[in-house]
Amino acid sequence: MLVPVVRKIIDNKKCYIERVFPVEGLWEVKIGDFVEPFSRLGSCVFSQNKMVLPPDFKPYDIKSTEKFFYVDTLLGKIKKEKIFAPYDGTLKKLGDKKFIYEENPTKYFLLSGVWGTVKSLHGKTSALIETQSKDICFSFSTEFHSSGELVVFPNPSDILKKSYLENFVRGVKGKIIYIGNYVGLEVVKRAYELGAVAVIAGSSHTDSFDFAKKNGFSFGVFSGFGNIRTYEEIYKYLSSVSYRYVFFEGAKNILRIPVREEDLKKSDKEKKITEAENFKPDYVKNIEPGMKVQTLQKPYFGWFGVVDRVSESSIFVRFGSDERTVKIRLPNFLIIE
Amino acid sequence: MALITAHFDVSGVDFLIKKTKKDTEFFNFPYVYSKGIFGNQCDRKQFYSSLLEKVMADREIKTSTCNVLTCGFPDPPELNLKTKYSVKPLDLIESSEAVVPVFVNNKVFLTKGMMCSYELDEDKDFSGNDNDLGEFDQIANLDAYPQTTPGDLSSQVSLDSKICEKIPEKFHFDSGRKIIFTGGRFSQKILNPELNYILITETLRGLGVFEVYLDSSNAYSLLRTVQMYDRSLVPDIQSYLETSGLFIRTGGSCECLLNTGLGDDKFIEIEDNKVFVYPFRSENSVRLSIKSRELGTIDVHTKGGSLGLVFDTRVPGESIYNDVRLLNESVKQFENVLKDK
Repeated sequence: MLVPVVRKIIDNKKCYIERVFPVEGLWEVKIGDFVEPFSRLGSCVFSQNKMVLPPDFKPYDIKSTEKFFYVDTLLGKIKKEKIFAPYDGTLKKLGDKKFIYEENPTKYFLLSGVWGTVKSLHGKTSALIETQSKDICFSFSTEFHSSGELVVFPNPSDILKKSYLENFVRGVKGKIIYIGNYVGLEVVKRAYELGAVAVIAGSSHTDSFDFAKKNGFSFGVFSGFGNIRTYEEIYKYLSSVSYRYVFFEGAKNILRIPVREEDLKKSDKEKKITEAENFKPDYVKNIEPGMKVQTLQKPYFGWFGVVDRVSESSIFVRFGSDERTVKIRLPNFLIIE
Repeated sequence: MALITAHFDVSGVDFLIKKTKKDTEFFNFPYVYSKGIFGNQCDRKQFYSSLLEKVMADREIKTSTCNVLTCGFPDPPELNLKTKYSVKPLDLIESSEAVVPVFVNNKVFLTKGMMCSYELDEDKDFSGNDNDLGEFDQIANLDAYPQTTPGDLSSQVSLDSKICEKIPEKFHFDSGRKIIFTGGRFSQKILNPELNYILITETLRGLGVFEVYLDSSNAYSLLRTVQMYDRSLVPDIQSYLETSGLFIRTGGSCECLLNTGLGDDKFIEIEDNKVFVYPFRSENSVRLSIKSRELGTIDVHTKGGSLGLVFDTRVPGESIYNDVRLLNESVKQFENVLKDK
């Protein structure tokens, strides 16, 4: 019985990461330089925050089309509510009597985010770095690209997720957040409002995906739709790389986690693979007792177990320490390696 | 030279392997490439090439001495192997001669002159809750795990009814035709195979008598692909297919006389809005006289089949999936016949 082999986390010995300036900038590296995640690639100057004010906003003391304000000074009012400048910036009047408040341009340093070698520089906008990574496969993701610091919640209960998001993490903005085994629409919406660049979880319902798709938001689940636990090894690995700069590549359906070259060599050793370059994995294998499988059949959808025995068109799986076995029909299971 | 033909569907891959001109092996691999499973390992091209190589290696066929033919919906995938001939199911169907193929999978209903595609999860009436793997989630999971089959009868019924909803009401088959039901939906090993016949009953639009074949290994696409490559390799497709029997849609109550010529004639009377299965298979052709208000009187000759005779006296436009009592009765009948097979 031939069955696909799923490798949830794989070592990618050679990949390219593109790092892009938000506006044109100046490079501090050259082709061939070795960089580490906190190495500066270059810098540019641009306004990093802006606030679009609602139509009923009434500005305070503005005579021309724009005016500079210091932080915490009065910008104007929305009905009776006073609005203060959240940072030093300029209030600009738009054509349709609307206002926008832009932070003063500040210097922005583009960091490498990876361990690798600069392969090419494209004008004053982007750099291509050759690196290595561990790629984790999503079972489903929106097809957007984003990158940011990874924050891993400790699989909190449903009640705590939102308060974790609002209180426990210092500044969600720009981060990729692993919420837990399951994430609901309300938490996804809140993460989006708070400026997170991506939300990842074990599972979710389709309404969260619809929201993410509609808003161009990076969103991925590792196990599938419903309320399904995250594969233990994925959770353990994410926890071990918490606060690392990671890349959400929705078009490829993966979360790319940059690693040092030594980290891959170490894992090769663990797998007893000496000539890593010549290793050609099997994408399908004949299923045998003792193999680890993921079951995709209700009520065990997304569960992981071990094959006890194989029959003509089904397998019998043991979950955890349970002595009983459960019959799972072909093709509702996958081999996990 | 060995010949391997592969049919790539949306939920599985079927193979026809000819190591020599005389022997024929059908092999089903009930999985497909999906980004949710292989996104971090390989692309579609690498996966299917590797699968073909594995199928060949298991049979000690050398890649260099094997001709590869492919067929796939919507298109055959690109491969790292050299293919001799590739074709789409649409072209196979449009070029069919004596029979009418009906190709059904989780993405499309396709037959001569008619194609309707659908997304099973396009229905946006979300009604799940945080702790439940509801029907809606199951359908959505088909995107990530397209090979999966529902674990219970009602979920399969729900999926099948979504397929049928998309077939235009005016569409009908001409009476007297030989119809082959093929495609990924019928090659999937579902929990309740009797639902295949419910789906056939529901998609068989139009009044009349139809000789029905069920293709549960995508044999039609595979053999037709081979035929289009070299007709001498497959002189006759029908001999590879299971004859299910005669499906008779009368549009109302009917009477029927089965004249075996051996003195044990059978008279069958069926009231309206019923599905009645009469198990029948004979070595010789027997005469069947059918009388109904809509059809008038029709005389046909039949040998029956694995199911026999299936009478459907429902009024056109009524879905069996909306009539729970009729659905349950029909499922029971098909189940009993299949049990005795």
